[in-house]
Amino acid sequence: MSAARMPLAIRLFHGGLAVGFIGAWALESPWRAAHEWLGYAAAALVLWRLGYALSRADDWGWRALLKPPQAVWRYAAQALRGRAPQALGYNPLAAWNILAMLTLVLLIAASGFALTTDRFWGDEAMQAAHALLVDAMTGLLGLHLLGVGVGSMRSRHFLPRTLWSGERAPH
Amino acid sequence: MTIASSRSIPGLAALALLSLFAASAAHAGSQCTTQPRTAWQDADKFQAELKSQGYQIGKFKITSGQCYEIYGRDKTGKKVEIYFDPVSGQIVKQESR
Repeated sequence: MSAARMPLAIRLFHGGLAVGFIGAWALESPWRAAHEWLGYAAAALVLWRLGYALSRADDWGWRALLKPPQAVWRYAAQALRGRAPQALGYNPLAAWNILAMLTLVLLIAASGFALTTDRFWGDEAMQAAHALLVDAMTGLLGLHLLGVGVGSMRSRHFLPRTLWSGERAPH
Repeated sequence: MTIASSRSIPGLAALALLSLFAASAAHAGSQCTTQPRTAWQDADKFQAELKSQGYQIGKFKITSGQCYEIYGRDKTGKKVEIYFDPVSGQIVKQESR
């Protein structure tokens, strides 16, 4: 596998997670059973991704996801001046954005499961927590799309194309 | 795909926004009545009536969609979440597990 390509497994994971989150979000009211199963499926995909990161020592492994805070500040400062270096892999801001979203998906699914139990059936605090986590996720998703937009402009490559072609571009 | 396709970003963003709006429309909870509160059944009597039908009420709420909503159990002991029209008392939507 060429280092310049995004593995098919990651691309399928991304598509599945997007369908899971957006689907669960849209079907909360009209189709509760689908809402729940899409949420659990999204959480399962995240667990798979975290395990996959353990098995890789390259751009898809933990080293690429867990960037030291100094690297994040440095990159952010460079980005604000429009001088962030371009690279194939996740930039430090993207890595934290992604890790935060993965964590939120797990927390959303856990709070969602709790809401189906006797203990939290109709529990307002848990409902509020579930909704708040989703709001945070939506915000991070906005930042994710913003980052993809900015990266696309800067690199003059339409970055989402990687999701179906697998070909990466420095951004 | 290079410079030309970066022009499609605003289009894609618009599409994403549109689907968010569509989704949030679907996301809005049930609307149960448009009648004023004065036409609604008394909340306490309504709950007492449900209990006499065998429901256990864990939580009782008035939703933003003008519904009486209960979380509890039906007479078979199954967990239920039910939205009622507060005027007619009819079930508008029910979730159970």
